Amino acid sequence: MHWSLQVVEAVIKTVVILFGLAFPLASILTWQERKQSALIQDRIGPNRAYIPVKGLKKYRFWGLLHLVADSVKMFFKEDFRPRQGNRFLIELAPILALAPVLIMFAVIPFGDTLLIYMPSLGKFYESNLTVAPLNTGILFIFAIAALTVYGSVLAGYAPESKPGMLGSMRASAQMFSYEVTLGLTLVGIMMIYGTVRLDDIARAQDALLFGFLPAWGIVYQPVGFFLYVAAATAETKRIPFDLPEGESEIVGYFVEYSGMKFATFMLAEFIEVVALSTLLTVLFFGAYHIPWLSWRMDVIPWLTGIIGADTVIPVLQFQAVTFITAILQFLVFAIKVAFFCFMQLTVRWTLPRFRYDQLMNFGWKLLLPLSMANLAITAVIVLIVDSI
Amino acid sequence: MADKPADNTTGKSPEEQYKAGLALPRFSSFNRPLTLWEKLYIGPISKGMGLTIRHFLENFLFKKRYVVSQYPEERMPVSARWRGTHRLTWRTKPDVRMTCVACKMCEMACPSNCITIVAGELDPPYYTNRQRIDKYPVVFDIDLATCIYCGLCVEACPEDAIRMDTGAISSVSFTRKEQIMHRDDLLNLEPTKHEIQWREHSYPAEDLLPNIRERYMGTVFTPATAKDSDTSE
Repeated sequence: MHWSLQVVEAVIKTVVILFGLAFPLASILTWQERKQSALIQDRIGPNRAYIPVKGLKKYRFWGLLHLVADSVKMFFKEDFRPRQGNRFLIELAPILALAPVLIMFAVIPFGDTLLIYMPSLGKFYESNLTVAPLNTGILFIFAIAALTVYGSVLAGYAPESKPGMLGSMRASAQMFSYEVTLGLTLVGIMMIYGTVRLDDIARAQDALLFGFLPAWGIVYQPVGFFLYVAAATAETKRIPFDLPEGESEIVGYFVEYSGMKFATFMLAEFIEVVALSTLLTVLFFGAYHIPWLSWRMDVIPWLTGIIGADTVIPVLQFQAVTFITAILQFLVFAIKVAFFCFMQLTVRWTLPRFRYDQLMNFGWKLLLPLSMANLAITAVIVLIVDSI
Repeated sequence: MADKPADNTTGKSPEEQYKAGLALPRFSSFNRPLTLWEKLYIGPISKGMGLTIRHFLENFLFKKRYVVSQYPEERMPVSARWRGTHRLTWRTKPDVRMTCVACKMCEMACPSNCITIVAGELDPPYYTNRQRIDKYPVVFDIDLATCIYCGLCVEACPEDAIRMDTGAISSVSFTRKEQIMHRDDLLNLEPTKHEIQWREHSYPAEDLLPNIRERYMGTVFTPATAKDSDTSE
């Protein structure tokens, strides 16, 4: 296949995963965080914004228009620049906070392979529904996720602000501590599925374990799941691990930023929530699979039976089935991701913030030994099962 | 010595003190080591998650736990004794006129000098059942930004011409100039529902006219109406 077509294919897939999943979900999350916290705390939440059109009723859409109002406000706010500090690094920090999170979506599989008929070649082209199906998979995600620490460190360090500096020091110490656990928890998943490619891990979760359990990551690694959620929440700096940006003690590493740059940090945080949810879905909750319903064995034959009833051209029929399957897979994936976003927001509005020594003790003295024990037990079991 | 109670609390944990009746109950986990179940975090966290999710679902599906009201549309009833924004009253008998006679007693009583009155002459004079009125306010301004809502003007008024029964709990504007209430604004304000009910209760029904403003604002104290409600005013 010509390289330009491959570029087009990659761009289309990038657009699908970023503008079809990450950005809409992240921007809805900014509204949902306010609305959901309100409902949890027996309040009503944002419900005021409406478009003033004469003669039209005030449609408020459950406060969804606050999203628009907020973003318009952020665009028109003054972009205050502190006089001291390094200008270049100040401008660089929000970009460094946002970019790695977006790059993480490159290896997320949002569907199985899509077969496209190429008339010029006379055969089907197999397109993997991942932007970049890298062989390094999970390792790539670790490498990129570690880069986000530069954004928060530079944001506190570059403007020479003391609360910001304190926040970024907390952020760096916390993120480095929890990265160890984060890595170790996923080694169990790698050993069980025998690969680090995320699309292969997603495909492997189609099977049934003992004939009745879906072979999802959480079935194999229940302890690893909880450890991963804890470590990843610390990694994304959200409550109960939001020491770097604790509003009530230090404002945080982005204290010197205003306007759209501040909004970039907030957007990065919400996209991190989405990214964490996608990873949870792919690694532990069967990616785009519906439990006890296999795409290859059940859904595709069923769809072929429906669509293929009176089609004349078999290629066209096959093409329609594959496209509908891909869209359904993407929908299943998106629903799972949205559910985990909801769960993360619920955690954020349930738990209080850790003290800093509690945070470090929790990371080094509880999570790390547990993840190592989990790793050892998994290794033994995998060895036994393989040798049988 | 004997009257000083012995210190029984030393060497006892808060729970033991509570069981011995020596201390108030303190069940916080600060006072005892965590149990193994609590150290595992997952159980207590899922308990808390269950609580928040239950609140979320109940509010999301049935909207039944809300403890807030939508302020500008829904307002909590204010107390009948609430001193809100002032208003000027009307007399109804023998015909509808403003009650104020521009005697400037309220202006004198006002501790923050927020009332400005310019008196004009009534020609010909106006006669009520009990008096002859020569003056009326040409200007009656109250600067709400300066007013401290002490109610001394209401106390000072010999004619019951100024009251603070509108029940307004805020006066907001974009400029300070808008905070100055003029005579006609003050005359157009209405009393609260409470006030209307209270007056309905205290005045005999046959004196009441159908129009609310004529019924309740500025009833003149004739001997006939003052007969059984004189002290209540």
